[in-house]
Amino acid sequence: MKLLEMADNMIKTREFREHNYKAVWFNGKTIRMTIDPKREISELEYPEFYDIKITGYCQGYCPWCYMNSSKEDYHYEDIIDKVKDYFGPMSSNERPFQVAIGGGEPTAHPQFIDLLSAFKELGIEPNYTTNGMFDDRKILEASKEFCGGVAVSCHPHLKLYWEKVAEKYLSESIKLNFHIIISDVESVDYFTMIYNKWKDKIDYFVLLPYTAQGRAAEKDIDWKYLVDKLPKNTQKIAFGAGFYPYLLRKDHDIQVSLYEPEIMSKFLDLKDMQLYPSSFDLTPIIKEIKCR
Amino acid sequence: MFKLNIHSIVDVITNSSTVIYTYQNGVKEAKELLQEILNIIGEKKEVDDLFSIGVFASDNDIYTEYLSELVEDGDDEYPDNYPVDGWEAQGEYIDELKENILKKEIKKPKWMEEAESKEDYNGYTAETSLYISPKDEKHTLLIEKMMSFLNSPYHEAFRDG
Repeated sequence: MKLLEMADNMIKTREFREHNYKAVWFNGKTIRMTIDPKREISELEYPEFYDIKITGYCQGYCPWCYMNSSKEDYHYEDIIDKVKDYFGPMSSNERPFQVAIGGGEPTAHPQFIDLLSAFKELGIEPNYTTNGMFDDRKILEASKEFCGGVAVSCHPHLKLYWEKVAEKYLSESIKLNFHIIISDVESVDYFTMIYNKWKDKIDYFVLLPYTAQGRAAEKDIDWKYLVDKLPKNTQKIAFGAGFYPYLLRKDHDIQVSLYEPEIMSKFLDLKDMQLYPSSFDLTPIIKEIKCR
Repeated sequence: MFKLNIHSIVDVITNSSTVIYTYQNGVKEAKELLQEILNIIGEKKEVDDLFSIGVFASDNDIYTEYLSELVEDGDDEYPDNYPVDGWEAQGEYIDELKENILKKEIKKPKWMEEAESKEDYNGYTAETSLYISPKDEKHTLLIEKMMSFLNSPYHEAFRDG
């Protein structure tokens, strides 16, 4: 059976025995397995996916932006070369299955489409998040050609933009997630309203806990109210890593597989090629990529 | 029987950090994956036509220790034909039970479900794995190759196959 050639772009596997980890990727899904089920998977030297920041520019002006993005910030230069130089020397086992491209507003970057194509050439599935304000036919077509999925940030003050763009992505059969920031009762009610309207069309509603970083002021998260209001069937719900401590509690019956956040992923800022645990933990990681 | 120790399952990552996806037990996703491999190799049959898939505790000790407690407590649920002595015989008994459940010859006994959901002193339930059994002997080689493929990042089993 000459499966390798056929399977290469359809099913990928990675294995790091020293971390008790193996994983299979197919159709955008990743199934992770332990080699020894009695031990946990330890932090991967080569992450399974990266969050990639390509710009600080954004026209959304969300008051809760934890990245402090604005129109006054700028797009990073030479992003294609940077990506090729960083991921190119990695073996197929070391390369991530997928990346989540963000910013700022990544679709506003003039090299955005070339970047999607570059990742695809490297055998890495690019995904991204958009606020929907940079509506462009070419980006839609490139997303269909290169991306595993796209997320739309459902900010209340940008509703006119993201609803329009979401419909366009759906009409092109692009896998679509919604990102919704959760904090107080009002935000949970907003999520419920969006869920009820879009639940039959959207793949996942990714609930992200409000993070007091950047220009976002302190705010509490009403976890109890969220648990009360979650749909009975939670199969279309996913949680951002910040919900990890809440999910550890035993005051809910949401079925999730919990593991230490960020052991599988890292945040790479293309501005200076600095690696961090995540965009919420900006402690620089010193990492040497082995030359071949 | 073939075993997959599923740790977690995630869908497309669009977020700026880890995303914790809700999921049941991985059976649906494992079936999708096996179906994908079948499609690639041109096998026209469905996963369910060829294999039985179920979820059990990864370690047979979860069951044998639970049964020991039932014996000590004189519980009625204790299965009559369970070998009281000999860990090897007890392990074989559990393996045979798993096979028979997968083949749908018997229903999963209540005590097995109880053993799987029993919390340890840290409040964690037993690690579980997916077990896959070919419905027909002739598909054993196929599942062996599929498992080799999944177990190797370099797909060696299929290169030479």
